[in-house]
Amino acid sequence: MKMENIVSEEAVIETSRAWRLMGVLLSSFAALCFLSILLPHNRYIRYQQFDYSDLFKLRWDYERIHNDPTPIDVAIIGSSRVEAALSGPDLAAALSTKLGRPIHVANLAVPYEGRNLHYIVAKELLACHPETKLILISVVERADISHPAFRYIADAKDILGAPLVINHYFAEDAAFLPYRQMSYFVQSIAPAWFGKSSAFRKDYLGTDFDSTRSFRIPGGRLIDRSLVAPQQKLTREAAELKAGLGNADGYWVQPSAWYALNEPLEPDYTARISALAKQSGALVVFVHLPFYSSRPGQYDHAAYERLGPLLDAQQFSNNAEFYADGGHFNRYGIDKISPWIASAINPYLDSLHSKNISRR
Amino acid sequence: MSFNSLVFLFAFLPFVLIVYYCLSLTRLHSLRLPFLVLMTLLFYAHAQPRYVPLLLVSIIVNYLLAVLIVRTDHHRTKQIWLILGVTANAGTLLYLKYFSAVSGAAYGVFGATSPFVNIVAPLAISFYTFQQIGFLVDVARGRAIPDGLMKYMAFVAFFPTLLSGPITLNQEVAPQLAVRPDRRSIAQNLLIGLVIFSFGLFKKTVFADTAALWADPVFNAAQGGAHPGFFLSWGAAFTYTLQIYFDFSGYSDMAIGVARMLGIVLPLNFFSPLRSTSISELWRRWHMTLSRFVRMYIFQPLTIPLTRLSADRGYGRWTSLAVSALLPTFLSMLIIGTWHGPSWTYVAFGIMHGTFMCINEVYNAITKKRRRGKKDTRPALFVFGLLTLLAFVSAEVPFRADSMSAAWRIFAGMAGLYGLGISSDRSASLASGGNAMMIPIIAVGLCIVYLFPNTEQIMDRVRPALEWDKWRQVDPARFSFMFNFNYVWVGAVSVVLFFGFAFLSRGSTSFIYFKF
Repeated sequence: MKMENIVSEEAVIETSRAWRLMGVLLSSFAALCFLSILLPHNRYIRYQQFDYSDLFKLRWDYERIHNDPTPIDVAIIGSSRVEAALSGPDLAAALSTKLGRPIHVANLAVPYEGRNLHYIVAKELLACHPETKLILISVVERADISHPAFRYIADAKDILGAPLVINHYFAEDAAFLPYRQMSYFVQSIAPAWFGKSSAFRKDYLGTDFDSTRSFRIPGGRLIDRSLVAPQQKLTREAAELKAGLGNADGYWVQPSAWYALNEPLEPDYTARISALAKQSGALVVFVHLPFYSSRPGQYDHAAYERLGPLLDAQQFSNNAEFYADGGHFNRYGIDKISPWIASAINPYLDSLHSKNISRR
Repeated sequence: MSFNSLVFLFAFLPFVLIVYYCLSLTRLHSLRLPFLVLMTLLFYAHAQPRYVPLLLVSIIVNYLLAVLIVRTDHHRTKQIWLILGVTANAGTLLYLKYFSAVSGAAYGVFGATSPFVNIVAPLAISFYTFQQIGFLVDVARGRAIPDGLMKYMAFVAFFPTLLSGPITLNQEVAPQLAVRPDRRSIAQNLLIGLVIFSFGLFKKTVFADTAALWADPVFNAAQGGAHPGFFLSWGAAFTYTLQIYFDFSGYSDMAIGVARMLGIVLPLNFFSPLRSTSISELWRRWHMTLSRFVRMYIFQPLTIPLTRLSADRGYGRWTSLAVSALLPTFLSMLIIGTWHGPSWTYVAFGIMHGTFMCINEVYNAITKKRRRGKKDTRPALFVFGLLTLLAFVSAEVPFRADSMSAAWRIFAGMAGLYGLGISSDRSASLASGGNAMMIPIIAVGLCIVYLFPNTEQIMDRVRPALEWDKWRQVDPARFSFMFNFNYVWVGAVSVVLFFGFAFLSRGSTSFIYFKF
């Protein structure tokens, strides 16, 4: 092969025209990305994306908030630790008895960590249920990650309004928007084709759906809350959780400013939830449910206490029979935790109620 | 790092292009090749950092061997250095890619565990090894010369081709890399490269990844012991064929496009192979640079002495055909099959293709006289094309299956041994793994393959690949159209790029050929 054949290339177009066309191509691409974000869709469709997964409860959350007329006085928002441990109906019954009036509790927590999703759920909740008086927010040892459902559930402006510096998830979440918006747009046009519905579905699990009781997720898998984990398994899983904290011997150390700069999601969204609640007149109470045999104080107490009261169930952490696995309580644990939480939040609800009455 | 990743699209590629052209247009232009090499190492390290030293050692050793070959006047000594080089390359490849599996099987016979099971084949090793074996042979034959270590490094460690080809020849790429980019051609090359890249990205994320959603569940279920019915098995075989077709076609376009953005024109690697009317033609158009490598460095060295042997021994027509054509053809296909990895499924793939090729050769030999001077009729061409397609689709079953038992289950399903497999449950048949949605996917895929021009044909005006004049007139599409430098075309390409990008976020899979 002769070298001249390869390297000599005649210019097909003028340089300035090529630059112009290049500019048009890239700006059209950017315009299409922007326009795709404006595509309308039914928001209910978003919450039906996880119907056959561990996150199926997101749809229940939406239905409970938007379609169920029962008021919500106390909402529980967080990860699987509180989803599995705090029974809405049990808490409602205990609080109603203590306060002498009906109290409605909705456990809106779903599996996986990610404060950004908690913020989205809190926003939906307070927009539709301004009567909410108290929000229990879960605290875990280390949760500086984006929730896997955030990019599917959040409004486009919330995705684009996520902390930019230094948010490792921002680019991927933002890049997901064009596909998501097109997909939801098409699903909204013909929801039945995709096994979705734009109208309130009849298979709603009901106001009293209790995720602390054993149930089967729609895919068929059994979530068994009565399981008692064998000691060996508990010890192994607890050791893994301790190792995951990244500190020597599982001891917690105050995060550095550099760490906080690199992991902005947890503090940023916790502050946003707190601000939203304040605006709505609700109280945020933080709840830490420890993993098995964890040491006390494995998280930044002070940061949470600046924003609201903090409840720590550390006293239950050494009872192996209370745990279904290294990080989650079972039925026996739940039966202890729920009354304890009810007693702990009762004074706050009482004082909020008194304040409301005196304001009237 | 993969071409279909956000970090490549929005960070790595723009950074490389900006710095490369900034260096090229200034007095620092001598740094542009070291920069490209450095970026390629970063590109490689992003996926497999621990094998970067191996890549570097391989490049340096091969370069030194090439220098030794050139500096030696004695033919015999040249041959010794060449044999040493080829053996070292092939030995390293065989050890890292196959030894773990072979020793595992051998130890397994005696009920023991091989201590070598943890050897992980380095990414792209077969691609850069083949490229370097070809270089050593070409140096020994006087077709290429070692022209400086940096130029050689830039040729082997050229990120657009490193991970999955095209497997280029030194004399194709090195002269282009040696030339400093011309200021006037930068915008044009960027535009042409981006257009070609956009088509590739679209093929990968929109077509290949969509087909995978329907093929994977069936093959995975077969691996798990399920017995798919007739339609589901054929549907899975066809959707997988379309997946790998658009995956590799898309990858090849993206590699050609990225190289073009840097001003480098690569050889063709994929030219609408499913439109072929014979299996041998299909292999001339599928993974063309691997086929070329096998033809130049395996088939020809085998067939020439075997032809001499059959002539010397005075073999008859059919024995001569068997010895000088069928045997090397079969062996070449077997080598191509096993090149993909140490698995019986790839051996089966190679055997099937070797058998198809031999049947094709025998048919040509039988009908040679009858067909002389006559063109095949349209119905005949249709039948040949259909047979070629069905043969290829069938051979894709062991290629995709995770084990031979899974492949047998799919084959049995294709033979109708597990019933027709039509589901009356609409939602089940529409979901991934259901068969109803396979029909439009296969129909649309085949329409695109058979009716529309390929990327290079669309880009005909701008000489998209090396030796394009040879291919320009080959197999024109039924509906033909060509890219033009105007706003309408650029707008259309932006839509293609947009969909390629948007579907990337759906969850794009890795390129199939990355694992080879």
